[in-house]
Amino acid sequence: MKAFDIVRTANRNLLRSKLRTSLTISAIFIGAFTLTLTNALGDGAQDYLNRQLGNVSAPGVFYVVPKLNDNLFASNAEPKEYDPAKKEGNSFQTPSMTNDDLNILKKVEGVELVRPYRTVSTEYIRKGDQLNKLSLSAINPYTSLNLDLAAGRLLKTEDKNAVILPENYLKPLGFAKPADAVNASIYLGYRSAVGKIEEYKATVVGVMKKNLVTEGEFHVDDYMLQKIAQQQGGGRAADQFAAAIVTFKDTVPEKENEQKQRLGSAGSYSVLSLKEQVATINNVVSAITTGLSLVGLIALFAASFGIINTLLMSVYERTKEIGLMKALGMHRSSVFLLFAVEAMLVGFWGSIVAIAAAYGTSQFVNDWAATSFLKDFESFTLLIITPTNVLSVIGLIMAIAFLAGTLPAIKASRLNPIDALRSE
Amino acid sequence: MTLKAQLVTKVYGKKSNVFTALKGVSFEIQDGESVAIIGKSGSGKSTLMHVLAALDHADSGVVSLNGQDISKFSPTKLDTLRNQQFGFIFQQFFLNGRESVLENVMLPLKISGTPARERKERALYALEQVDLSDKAKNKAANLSGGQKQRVCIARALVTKPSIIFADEPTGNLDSENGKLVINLLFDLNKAKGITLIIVTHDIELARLCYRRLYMKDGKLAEIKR
Repeated sequence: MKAFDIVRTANRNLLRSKLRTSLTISAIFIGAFTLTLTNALGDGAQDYLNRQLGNVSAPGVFYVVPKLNDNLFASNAEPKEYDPAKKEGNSFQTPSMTNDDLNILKKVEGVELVRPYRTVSTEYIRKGDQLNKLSLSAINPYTSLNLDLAAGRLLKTEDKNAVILPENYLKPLGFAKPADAVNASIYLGYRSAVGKIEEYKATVVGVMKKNLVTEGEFHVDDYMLQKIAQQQGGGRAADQFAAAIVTFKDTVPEKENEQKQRLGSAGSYSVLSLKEQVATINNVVSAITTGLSLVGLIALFAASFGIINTLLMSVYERTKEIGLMKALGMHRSSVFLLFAVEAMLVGFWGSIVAIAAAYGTSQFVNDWAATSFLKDFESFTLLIITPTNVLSVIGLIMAIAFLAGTLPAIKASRLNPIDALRSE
Repeated sequence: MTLKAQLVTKVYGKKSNVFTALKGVSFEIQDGESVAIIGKSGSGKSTLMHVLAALDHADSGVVSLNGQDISKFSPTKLDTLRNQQFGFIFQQFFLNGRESVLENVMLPLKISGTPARERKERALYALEQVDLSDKAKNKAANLSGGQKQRVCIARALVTKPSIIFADEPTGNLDSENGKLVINLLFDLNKAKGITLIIVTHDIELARLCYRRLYMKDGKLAEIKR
């Protein structure tokens, strides 16, 4: 029997008892619908995170921090001899990176650029031509992250006194739209080492969209941070950083592990790639969506018994027909396939209907979310149904349906034509 | 196609429940013959037909086709043999009532993987031969008993078989329709040289056959010309 005829016959057989078939399909539908939506939620969150947390495919960029040594005050350990060459930190005290560390890292093979990751504390921000001051928590140093911008451009290594403004500061600072803020002058207020308020003039180069992770995140270039740090902590503070950002010449994902190892063995350092940082957050998202997907999978598992049941009934009902087909020379394998394909078609139609329904639902939910709880996150599409999602759901469900169909299909293929024809 | 049975036995059941349906049956059927297998119910006549038609295997003895032992054939080869060389007609018709007459007649060709267009052509030709061309699109369930059995004949014919096995072909028909079906079968036997093997307890029908094999308690009681 030809494959096309098997599929066509199986499909016709499905239509024989429409009620039973549709009930089995609806069981599949529930699982497939849940699975498609949880995948869509995961994809939506992933997409948003990727945009917020930068270009995950920016390989060859690493954060390097001194290695923490928590054994220092572990219950049984005795205090160790002080070693000036060894930086030891613990949960309470984080050691800093110094210029010496930067020089060590610069010498690591293949390294193109080592930048300090400085943090400074600031007091306020004000627009150049206005006097009202806005509070400001912290400012971030330039990283290689691909920020999601509303206007302007990203920071460059050679920038001096450039700032990226978060979107929620636009209105308070008196800018009507993001583009208006680009090239405007702003002043950052901070306290010097002796507690005196100082101001630093900077130019806005870009405006960043609102995001989930931080409210009002400023990004400034390293030149400016260094200047402020010198004012705040004197020469010594300016030479201590939380971390070093290392960029390699080779920016291919395949070399990341090797590069990471090289940095790690240059000294007592902990090395984290940008990709890993994003991956950490992505892992949380995947953990949540996996949990939800599990619900869908359980529904599918239950539905697979529905398939077995339906097909077994079908085999009993069609005993004579199967017997006749075998008497007329149908191979056992074709009989098996006929029922297995029928099971897969139940899965196929169930998942198609479910995906269509999930697509409709996602449009509705996205519209609703965009005007309610996700109003402030304009680049966040809650549910994204990707082709990969669609294909994997169809594939998975057809595979489950096939497995469910094997028992009835084997039963049918083993029927003895004489017994089958004789049965009254 | 010569069909030969040599000391064929068939046993059903196990241990204490053993029932020997065939106790060493031997005969030969020549190409183009018409043969009736006659006997009371339980005489083993249906079992004999099943063994001859490769629907069942003999427990001992040999069934051979043109000198070849069919027990040595692979399952696939046996399937193909039944599909291509044999035609089957059953007392209870075994038509799919939901499908059209044409679909029912096309079934053996569908099983053999014949292209759709050729399937239809050959099925329509087979229906013409049983004078049911006008019913091709009807649902099989809506036909009368006589018409149903003619559809079965068309289904048996459609693969151009060498042998047609008919198990009580007139059992479910009134005498008028029975005659019609019998005439059709013997016409095919004469015009196309298709070997007819008819299992029946209808003496009238058996008399029309060239040869009669009388079965009694699993043995061949008599062979009459």
